[in-house]
Amino acid sequence: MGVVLAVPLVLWLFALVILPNLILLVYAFCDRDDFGQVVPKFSLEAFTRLADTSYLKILLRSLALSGVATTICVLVGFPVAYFIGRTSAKWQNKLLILVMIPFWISFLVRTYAWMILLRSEGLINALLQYTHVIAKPLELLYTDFAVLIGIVYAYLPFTILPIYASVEKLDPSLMEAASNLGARPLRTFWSVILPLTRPGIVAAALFVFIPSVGMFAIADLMGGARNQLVGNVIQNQFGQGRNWPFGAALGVVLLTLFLALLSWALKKDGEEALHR
Amino acid sequence: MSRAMIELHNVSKRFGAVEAVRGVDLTIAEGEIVTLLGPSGSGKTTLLRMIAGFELPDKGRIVLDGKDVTHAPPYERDVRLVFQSYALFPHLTVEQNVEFGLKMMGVSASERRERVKDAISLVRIEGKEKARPHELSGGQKQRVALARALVCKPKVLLLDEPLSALDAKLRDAMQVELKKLQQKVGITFVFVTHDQQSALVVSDRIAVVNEGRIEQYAGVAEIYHRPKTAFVASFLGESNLLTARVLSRGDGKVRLSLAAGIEVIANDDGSRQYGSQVTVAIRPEKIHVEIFEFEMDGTFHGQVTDEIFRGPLAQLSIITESGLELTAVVATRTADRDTPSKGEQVTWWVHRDDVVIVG
Ligand SMILES: Nc1ncnc2c1ncn2[C@@H]1O[C@H](COP(=O)(O)OP(=O)(O)OP(=O)(O)O)[C@@H](O)[C@H]1O
Ligand SMILES: [Mg+2]
Repeated sequence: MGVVLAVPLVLWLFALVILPNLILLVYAFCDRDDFGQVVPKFSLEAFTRLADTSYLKILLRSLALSGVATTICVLVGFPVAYFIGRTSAKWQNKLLILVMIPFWISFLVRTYAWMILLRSEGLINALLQYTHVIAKPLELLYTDFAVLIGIVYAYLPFTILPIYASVEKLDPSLMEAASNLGARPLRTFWSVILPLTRPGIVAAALFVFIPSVGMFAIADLMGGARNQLVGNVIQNQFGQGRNWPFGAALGVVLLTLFLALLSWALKKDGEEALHR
Repeated sequence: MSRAMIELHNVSKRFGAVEAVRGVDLTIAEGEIVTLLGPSGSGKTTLLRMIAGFELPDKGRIVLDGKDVTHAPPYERDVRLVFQSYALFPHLTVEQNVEFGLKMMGVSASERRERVKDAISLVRIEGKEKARPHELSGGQKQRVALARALVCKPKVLLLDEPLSALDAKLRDAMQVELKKLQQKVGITFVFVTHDQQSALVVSDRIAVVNEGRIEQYAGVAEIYHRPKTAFVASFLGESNLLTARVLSRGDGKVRLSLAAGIEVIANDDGSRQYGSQVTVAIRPEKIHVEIFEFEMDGTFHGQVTDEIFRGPLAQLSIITESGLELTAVVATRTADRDTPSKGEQVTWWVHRDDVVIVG
């Protein structure tokens, strides 16, 4: 019976997760003809191109940017999630709906809204000039800063939800017990709240980090041509670049990275779960 | 009596429409075991939580060891609470749980190791030092919770129904253990329970809590033998609560009529203004029952309408000719025909010390 119930899941996983990744893997080791068409012939050319340091730089820059965005998301998301998780059940639902409202609006519309805010003649610059804080408009859009804002904005709800889930499960008497045993609020946070919500924080960080490393739309729209990320490079290989094997090879590199990260997190989580 | 360790002065607490605690005055001496005994929802936990600092009283003052702590945060009070749910830290081992409070107090690592070891052997959970809370039984968790609180050597230990999750056998054993422990460490214990048996076994004094008020606060024997209110008389043990008419008083005695032809004498404690009606409480085991019929001053006749055998004791329901109904508890005899049985006529009487006016 249990096996039968698992069939749709397995089919789904195979068709939408495993199969595409296998295709990606095969393409990465394929050759190209003179017109850029993929030919089914074994080649390591795509991977030798990876040795080019300019790609390594872009990859590192993407990882760094995502790392910073993830840190900001967790730092901002944790207090919000903690607050929601600790208010009365009546308010929890209302606040959670507020967190999810952005999902009701198209991603592109939301990103354009940020562009309008950040433009040289945009709202933020206009306001700062009007109040004489600055004389000339700041260059906000088409910078790393803009990309960072875009990522944080897009992924913040994904941080809040998993952290909220672990905060909500926290038994409030544990915090009282810590306080009763002489722990000041900050100690209670480090010694009790943080260790017990860590699975939620790790999940939240992965939810931001993994998709944002490969993300290209935000960098395209808000980062401008100068600020390429690895996602843009990959997208380019499948588009104008017409170098599918190289795009696939970059994809394989990212995938390997994510799998390593994920298995580390799961192993940690597994150890934790054993102690619960 | 030694000096006061905990003083509550006119403490009140309200949650929305619920008045959980209403003007409670309570003084607990150093080294005493006091039980707060009362039905569910009477405000016992709220009282403990105010002493521990988790709830701020709306009114009144809380003084610990001579210091007003009404507004002090929990981590500044030298009070440890054993939670009803134990509240052990799930991510820490037994040892680390016990050590937690010492770390917060800034005790050195070597002294911590020493004291943790002592506390663990005191509550007899050796061998479980490296276990996580989820690997422990209810009784073991309770011991860890106790060790975690005791290891800090607080001035006051608060225990919120710490025995309620245990089976009867374990509970009895733990009760005795708790009392011994308290005598050994000499800490002031405040124990919350709605189990009257635990209260009697463990406490020096009992405060009977009802609807946010303290109905009576006295030693165990006094509370049992001389309940002040009908609630105390019926909540702690069983009592026949009877309506009586005052016939006369004087010479430290009151003459009461329980029913036509049934007149008993009670001690006049002088604190009450007697109307024509009073309520008296008589413990079932204080009613003497004899199977022979005989006449004497202060003896009455009745018929056994029901008999419940309870091992060493039997509970009898007796009705008199005038319609007065009583419950009596008598020892079962070796030859069972000696125990009054259903339908039989009996003679009963009660000593005047055992007729307690409760209202
Ligand atoms: N945080 C709270 N919010 C609202 N009402 C509360 C709160 N805490 C307690 N109460 C109410 O106050 C009253 C006293 O509660 P308390 O927990 O002190 O009772 P208790 O004597 O400990 O009962 P029990 O024996 O069931 O544990 C109850 O009516 C309860 O519903
Ligand atoms: Mg309670």
